[in-house]
Parts: sequence; structure tokens; C-alpha cells
Amino acid sequence: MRPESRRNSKSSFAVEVINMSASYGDFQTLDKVCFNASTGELLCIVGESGCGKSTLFNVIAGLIEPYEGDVLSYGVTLSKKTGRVGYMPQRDLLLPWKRLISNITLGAELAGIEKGVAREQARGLLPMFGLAEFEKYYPYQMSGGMRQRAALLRTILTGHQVLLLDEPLGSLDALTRKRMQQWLLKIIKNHADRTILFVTHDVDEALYLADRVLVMSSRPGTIVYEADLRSIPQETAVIKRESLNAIKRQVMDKLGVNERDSYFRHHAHR
Amino acid sequence: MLTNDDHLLTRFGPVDTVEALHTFFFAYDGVSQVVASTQRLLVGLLIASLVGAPIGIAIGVSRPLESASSVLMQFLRMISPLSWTPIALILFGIGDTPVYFLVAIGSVWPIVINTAAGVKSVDPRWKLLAKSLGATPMETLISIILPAIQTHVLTGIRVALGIGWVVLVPAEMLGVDNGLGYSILDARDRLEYGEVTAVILVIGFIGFVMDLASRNLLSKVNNESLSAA
Ligand SMILES: Nc1ncnc2c1ncn2[C@@H]1O[C@H](COP(=O)(O)OP(=O)(O)OP(=O)(O)O)[C@@H](O)[C@H]1O
Ligand SMILES: [Mg+2]
Repeated sequence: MRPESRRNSKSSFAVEVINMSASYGDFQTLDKVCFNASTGELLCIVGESGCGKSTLFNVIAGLIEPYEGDVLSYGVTLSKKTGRVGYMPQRDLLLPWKRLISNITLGAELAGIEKGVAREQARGLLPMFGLAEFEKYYPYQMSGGMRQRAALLRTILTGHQVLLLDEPLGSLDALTRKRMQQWLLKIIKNHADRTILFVTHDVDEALYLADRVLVMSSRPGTIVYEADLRSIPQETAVIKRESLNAIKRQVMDKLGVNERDSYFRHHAHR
Repeated sequence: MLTNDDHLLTRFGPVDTVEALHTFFFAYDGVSQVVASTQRLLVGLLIASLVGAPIGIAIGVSRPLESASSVLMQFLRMISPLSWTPIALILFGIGDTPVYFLVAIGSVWPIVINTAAGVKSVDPRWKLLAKSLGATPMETLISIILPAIQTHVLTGIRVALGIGWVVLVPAEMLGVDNGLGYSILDARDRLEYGEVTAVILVIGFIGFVMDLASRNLLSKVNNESLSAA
């Protein structure tokens, strides 16, 4: 039984970040970050490079201890404890000496789960991730997209309820990225019980994938804007698009990108 | 005197040497001398690896240990392994054991140093990844650090092999009654100078072949495991 599935009556949030601040030595990176995520939600966090998004994930994963505030999952604190959430770090970080199949079952290996059992379970998911024929490949034999899918699969296979995905589509070309976004939505629907925090610097990607978008200010990072995309009026396609554009303008504004820039960015991405 | 020396030198010449190689291998059972030496080298190297790799890992993971040991290591490393001979003989008497000791103490340093350097060069993000998956420091050591330093350790052992081979021959000149080092002294005592040359050639040849073989093995391991780098 995983600790995070032990529901606590005090809080039903899958992730609850409460006035959390963190620093690297004297270098403050996060300042009173405050937000929460309910079970099954997909939150996209956008913010400029260096604002502290990866640091936030490191705190939630228990790798960095905040000096103020706390991070809870169903009322249980996550700080100082590792191995409670599935974390896909920025860049795929597959181990070069392991074949695909042992890379994606690394979590199971570390948890002491029997190899055969872990592999059987992993093999069941390989086709959906487009990796069915490549289980014996080393990372250097795989394309960037394959590596990222493998890293995502490794994260999902941890079995944790909360998944932290740090720019999972980061190093992909625009075309592959578009395709992977659609694919990712399908994967996420298959794992609707999972709560996902997703970092991206691509606002369109965030608007496309997220239930809610959180905007982080530049360092020291804190959440400066939050938009719920599920509350967008759906009456007609025009209304829907207009509301989406309004949200996008808000997000861009909070990111400090002016209207003119965002006009060009918008068209560059279509 | 001069004529005598000239006369002596001619006995190291090529024709005598070919003949002497024949004598060494057939009359003095050269093959078992080679086997005896190789076996001592391997035992010495095994000891050096079993002692050196764990010390290297400990130095690599612990910064305090690293700074505490670095001066001592540089100091010990600079002592010619053969200076330990009297101590080796007092500690282990005569026979194979002091030879193992001398080979091991001569060849342990590259293993320690390479292993420690390997541990320090492990990508910190791999360690964080393991930690985020809930690994304890011991599990990180086994699943991440050990496989990641494999080539560093093997490189250390390859360097150690060369040093061990060089130390072995003089070490075999004391207290053992077979092996290539012993054969040189034995040939000298029998005034068979051609045979001395023959054994020297055999030593050089075997050292060369072992180095070549270990180099090939190493690059094969490298290709297999770390082509991503
Ligand atoms: N290990 C570290 N030690 C010291 N400072 C660090 C460390 N890691 C990150 N930082 C600093 O903390 C700040 C936030 O870094 P972080 O990696 O969280 O940014 P990010 O929002 O993820 O950026 P990006 O979008 O480029 O990935 C940066 O200014 C960075 O230089
Ligand atoms: Mg980052």
C-alpha cells in the first residue's frame, strides 16, 4: 500500500503546496509558492527559464528540502521523503549501460520487485508507447522521441498516483512535438486517476494539454496567475476560441511577453 | 679486460639468443616459468583490485575521506614498490606471498585513483534520478555508481597490469625458485648470457601481448556499455 493512497480526512488534494519557499544556499529560488491539485487533474506550469520550475519539482519529489512551508499529498508531507511520486526529470536521463527494458523497470528494480514480474508488466505497455520492438535497444540506439517516451513510461511504471513531468517533450522538433502532444493526451486519459504536474515553456502546449495552467514569475518563482481551462464556455467554436485567446493573452502578459510578440508567436506555432 | 667484455657482449647476440630461446623453452621448461609468473601477476592484481576498488569507491563518495587521504596516497604512490622488499620478507617470509604483496602494492594505486575519479565523474543527475525513485545510498551505489564506473576501474586495472608485470620480475629474484625473474638469475649463475637475453625477450613479448589484449577487451566493453557518451 503506497502512503499517498492512504487518504487523510484532513485533505483530499493529491498535491498541496503551502507557502513553500526554497533556496540553493543563499540563492532564493522559490518564494511562497502556493497551489494545489486534485486527483486526476493535469496542471501545466509555465514560466521563463530559470524561474524555478525544476526546483519546485525537486521539492515535491523530496530531493530538496524547503526552508519554509510544506508540500503535502493527501495530507501527508512529501518533503524529505523520496520515492513517493513519479518524477520524470528534465531531459530523459536513461542510463546508457541499460537496455530499454531494464531502464524502464529501474523503479521496480530499486523497489526490489522481482525482475520477471516487473518486465512482464512493462512489456504490456510497450506497444502503446511505440516501443514494442525496441526492448533490447540501448539508449544510444534510440531517437530523441523514443527516449522521452521511454522515460515517461519509466515514470508511469513507478505506479505512483502523482506524476511530475518536467518538459517531457522538451527536446523534440515541432512536428514530433505536436504528434506527441496528441499521443500524450491519449495516455493521460488512460491514466485518468493519476494527478499530473507538467512543466513546459510552450504556452500553446500548456493550453492544449492542461486542465489548469499556472504561471510562475521569474526568480524567485511564485505562482502569479492561474487559469482553469475547463471553465471555458463551450457554446460555440467562436466563443471557445475567443475565451482561449483571452486566457492566452493573460498568460503571455504575466510571463512578460507583450501583445506584439505574442501575436507573432501565436502564428509561428500554428 | 676489454677483450673479455667484448667477448661477453657477443654472447647476448641474436644467433645465440634464438638458440637460447630454444634451450629455455625445452631444457628449462620455459612454459611453466611463464605460467608461474603469469599466475603470480594475476594473484597480485586480484589482491590489488579487491583492495584498491573499494578504497577508490570510498574515496570517491566521501569528500572528507578524499581530502584526508590524498596526501598520504601521493606519498605512498611515489615509493618504489621494491623498497617494500625487506618489509615484505619480514612480514611474509620467503615464497610466493611476498611476491604477491610487492605486485599488489605496486599496482594498487592506479586502481584506487581511477576508481575514485570514476565515482566522482558519475553524472549527479543519475544519482538524483535513483534517489527520486526511492533508492537508498546503498542502492544508488549498486544500481548507478558501480555500473557507471566500470570502464574507469578496468582502465585502472589495465594500467596496474603493466606496473605489476614490471614489478614482478625483480620480485621473483628473491626467495622463489621458478618464474621469469628467477630464470634470469638462474641463467646468469650458469653463465648462459644468451639465455638471459632470451628471457628478457619473453618478458617483453608477454607484457606486450597482455597489454594489447587488455586494451582490446577494454575498448570492447566500452563499445558495449557506453556508446552513448
Ligand atoms: N543545484 C543547484 N545549485 C545552485 N543553483 C541552482 C541549482 N539548480 C538550479 N539552480 C538555480 O536555481 C534557479 C532555478 O533553476 P531551475 O532549474 O529550477 O529553473 P527552471 O525554471 O527549471 O528553468 P528551465 O526552464 O531552464 O529548466 C536557476 O537560477 C538556477 O541557476
Ligand atoms: Mg527546468
